Amino acid sequence: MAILKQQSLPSPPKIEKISFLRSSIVEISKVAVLGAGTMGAGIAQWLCQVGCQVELSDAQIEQRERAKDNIFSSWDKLQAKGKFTPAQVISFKSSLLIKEEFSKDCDLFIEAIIENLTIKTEVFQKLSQHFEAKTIMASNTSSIPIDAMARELPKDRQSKFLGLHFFNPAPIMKLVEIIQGHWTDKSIGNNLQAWFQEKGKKPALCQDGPGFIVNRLARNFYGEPLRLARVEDTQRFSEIDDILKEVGGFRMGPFELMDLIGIDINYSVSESVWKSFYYEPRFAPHPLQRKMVTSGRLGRKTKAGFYEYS
Amino acid sequence: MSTLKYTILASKSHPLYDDLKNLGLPFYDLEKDDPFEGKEARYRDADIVFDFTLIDRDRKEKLLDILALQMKAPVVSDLTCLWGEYFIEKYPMLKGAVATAFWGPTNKKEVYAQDDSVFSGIQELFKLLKIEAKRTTGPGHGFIYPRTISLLINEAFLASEDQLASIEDMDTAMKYGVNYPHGLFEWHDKVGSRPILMLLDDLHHVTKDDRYRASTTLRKQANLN
Repeated sequence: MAILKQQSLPSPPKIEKISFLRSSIVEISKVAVLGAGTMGAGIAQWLCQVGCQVELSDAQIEQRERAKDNIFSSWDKLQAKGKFTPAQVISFKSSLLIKEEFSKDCDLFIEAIIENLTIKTEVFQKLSQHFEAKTIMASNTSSIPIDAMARELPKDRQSKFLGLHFFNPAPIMKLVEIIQGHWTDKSIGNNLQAWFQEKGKKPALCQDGPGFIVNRLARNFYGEPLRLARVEDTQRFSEIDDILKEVGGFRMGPFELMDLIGIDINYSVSESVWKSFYYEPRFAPHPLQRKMVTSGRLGRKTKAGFYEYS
Repeated sequence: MSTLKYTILASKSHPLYDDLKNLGLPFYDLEKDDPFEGKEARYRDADIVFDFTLIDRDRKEKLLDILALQMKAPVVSDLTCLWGEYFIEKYPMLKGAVATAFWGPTNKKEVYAQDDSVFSGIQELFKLLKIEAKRTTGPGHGFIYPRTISLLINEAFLASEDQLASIEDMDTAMKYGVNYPHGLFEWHDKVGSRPILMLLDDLHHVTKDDRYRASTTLRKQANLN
């Protein structure tokens, strides 16, 4: 008798692919971006490059000017490398306006300021009275629920409010998560998805949930290797990194990636998602993360993390 | 061709089944053949026995119990979806473990070998299969790559159950937001539901930790197909 006969395993199943119906493309030509830090400046740069007129503002005057200099410098370097023609760069530069107060007739407003719900809510409440009714308002938050920012807005604003989560560096990274809140008009999300697609991004439409798509689905790329390592052991970190790159095909291993992102930032996202899921064990941070953070070994930025950097 | 005498034991559910069968080496399909019958078991003159069965913990123990009684040659077992560390300790004749039951984006597979001669034996067989061996310090429980990718795919299924986004959009997000070589649903389609479920269930059984609780949809797909 064949000893394994009673158990036969099936071939892999096929999952049905579901596509959203794409509606007509929304008209986005004039965009206001608030927050001239790394993300706000990157978003503004990309928008100029795809033909939008962009108004960039920041509470700090020096930050606004610094962002403009950095963006202009980036375009000059890209021109020198042959990525853009001189005529294109002249056009980009003329389309970036540093403003203290935004024009009222912007098609889209993107907030990219500090991750603080109180401050963001105040900004949206104030600017909802400033912009014309047509303006779509969006937050570049990576962790704050869209509905928490939308709930105090007037009803006609709530339907045009959503999340637009860009990834750093925004001019290069293709993904934009388009997060639809409870009140968001579905056609706006679909139209924006088609618009970003047309402009060369890879947009992903999702509902408002902790971590959205990437920061939820990627949690175990860090959490499970931390459990595999269990304790501080550089050789083990290196073994895990090597296997996930060489066998799994990932560009970076989890430990070197956490060092690059910042162990404190990664730990904070892990904690935030874990708490938002009512302490679901799948998202539980690992004591090793806390140990690294409390000892000030935050990764490359402190020259010490899971690895040492000279 | 290798200078070592190999014997291959396999189950049809293993993704390398056809490749192994076509190598021209002594090969036993354990769903059809019983090499353990009779006084003169046919595999006994092998220098190394490879077990490529993809079966659950109880059945693997039953198989290894038989091999432990009958074998003199070292045995290398595919323990991709099982608690390899435990099996290695329990069965003295088990000198190595491989993780070949999970499809991967590269031609490298994780391998644990207790000594260099066993590792060389594994490398020689892998060469015939056009697989490169990546030696690890231990099989742990589900090795490193199978365990990590299983958790990632399971989370994608759980997010789908929550209707977070379409499968297409979740795959787009992981490929273009964090540069994964494949979307997690595309990845699942290549690996298959059953090996992922086997590993998650075994991890859950051993650890009793709910972080390894498999998605209902994943379980349904594994059972239906």
